[in-house]
Amino acid sequence: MKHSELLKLLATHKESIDRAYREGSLEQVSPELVESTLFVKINQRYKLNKNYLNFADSLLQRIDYTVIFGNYENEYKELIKAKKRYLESKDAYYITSILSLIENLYFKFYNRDREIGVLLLRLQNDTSLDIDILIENGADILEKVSELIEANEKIGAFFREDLRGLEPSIDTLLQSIGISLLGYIENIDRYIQELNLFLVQTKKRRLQNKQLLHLANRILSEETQTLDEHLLRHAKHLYYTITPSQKNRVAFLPDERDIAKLSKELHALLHEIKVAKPLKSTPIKLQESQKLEIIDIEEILEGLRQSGCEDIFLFIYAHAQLQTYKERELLEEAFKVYMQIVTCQEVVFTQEFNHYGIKVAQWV
Amino acid sequence: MGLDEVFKVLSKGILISLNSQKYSDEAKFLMIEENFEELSKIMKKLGFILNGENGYFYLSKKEKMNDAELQAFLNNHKNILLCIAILKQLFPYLERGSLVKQTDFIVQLKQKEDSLLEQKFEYIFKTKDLKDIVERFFDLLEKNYILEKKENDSKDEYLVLSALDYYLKIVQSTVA
Repeated sequence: MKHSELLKLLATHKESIDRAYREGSLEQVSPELVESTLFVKINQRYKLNKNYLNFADSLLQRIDYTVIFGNYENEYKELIKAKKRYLESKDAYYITSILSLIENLYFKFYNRDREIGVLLLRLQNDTSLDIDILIENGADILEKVSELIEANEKIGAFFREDLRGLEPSIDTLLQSIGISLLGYIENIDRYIQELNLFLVQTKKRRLQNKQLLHLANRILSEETQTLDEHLLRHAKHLYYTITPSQKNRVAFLPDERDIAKLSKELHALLHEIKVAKPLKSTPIKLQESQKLEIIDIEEILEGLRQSGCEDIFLFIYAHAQLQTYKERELLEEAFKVYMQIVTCQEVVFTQEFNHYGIKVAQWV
Repeated sequence: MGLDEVFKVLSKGILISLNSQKYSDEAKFLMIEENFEELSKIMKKLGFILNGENGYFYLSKKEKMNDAELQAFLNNHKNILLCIAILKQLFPYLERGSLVKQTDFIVQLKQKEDSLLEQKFEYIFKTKDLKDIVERFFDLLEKNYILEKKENDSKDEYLVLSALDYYLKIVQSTVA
């Protein structure tokens, strides 16, 4: 099959291929897909060829935790062989072979770097796995990545010491990929650091969750002595959680020492403050002299005792003591005195009324 | 934003988190050392201590608490610790800054089928009604400044505030 035919095949059957990629396997596929080895029949079902899956996963940055990094041993051995044969025969074929192997190794470095980067990102953001499983996966990846250090250094040294100067085209290729290669090798250290940090943090998180669960169970069974002691011992520096009032104010009743301190502060503060009082313009009223007139009731009573009386009210009305009053005032004052006098024992009421409408009372 | 405004918030017994959207101004104000020091001095005179650690601020009481205050202090801490334990059991990766949805909470709850979980809910809320439990659970954590609604009109999504670490610190100190 030519490459262009392969691309046409993929385009023609893109829906089946996509479904198989997403669902894992299909019950039926077109015969030409099986013929091309893109699909393989396993256990009555058709699955996509692993090579295609790896290729697709790699491009789509979907790396499984179980990815096998492999190593560079095969390429390394082939390079040694090719170099030896070139040195013996000076056949250009072996240069081509060496160039191809260098490129393979470069691709491996490149893909590995991407895979590890993606895996690390996935680990750091994975919240779906059980935390224990996540830690196990992280530890596995760390182990695999650590193994790469030695392998990387071996290849790097081989490129620098054994291949450089062998042939100009090899030097050109090595020069063009040299900086990137160095970057990928250095990245391994960084990945290892990040993985270690991730594992430490995740293990800490796992421990924290376990501790929380343990404490929660103790609260439930009311075995909280340690917690209570800790809270009481550190109360001075712990969140003051008194239930807020409806107005959401923290009720605090300061003790004597605090009040004394505050008063002292305020006292000192207020002493320094001079507030000018604005003058009020209030009109001052002159004191009015009030005339106090007192009626001497005793004198009136003495008069009544001496001469008796047929109508006490008229007697009072005409008495000298009330001379100063006129008209309505005279009537009112006379009536007041009348009401005082009629309480005496010597007073007898008649059935008649005088021309002021007042009941006639006689002094007996 | 001034000292008086920040004091008004703190005096309501609010735990101010740096990643809170509601109290971001107050948090930023307190992040400035001079402001923190000045307010701290005033708080000391009033009988409080201003604490700032790990991205959150709160007041603690300088002097001894009376019996009622002590009981509220202990019970509040225990209830919140229980709620956080439940949250972490259902969302093991939850941390400050995480988003948690009420609907996801219900899904996780139903999947767990843990009788101890039910006991914990009954301990705090004295009910077995799921709908009631979920509403009151989120309400309690929101009122105690551990969770904050992501958007005012959304009842489903909550942001985990930095103040979560205050309680995790207590767990670390009390559980071996």
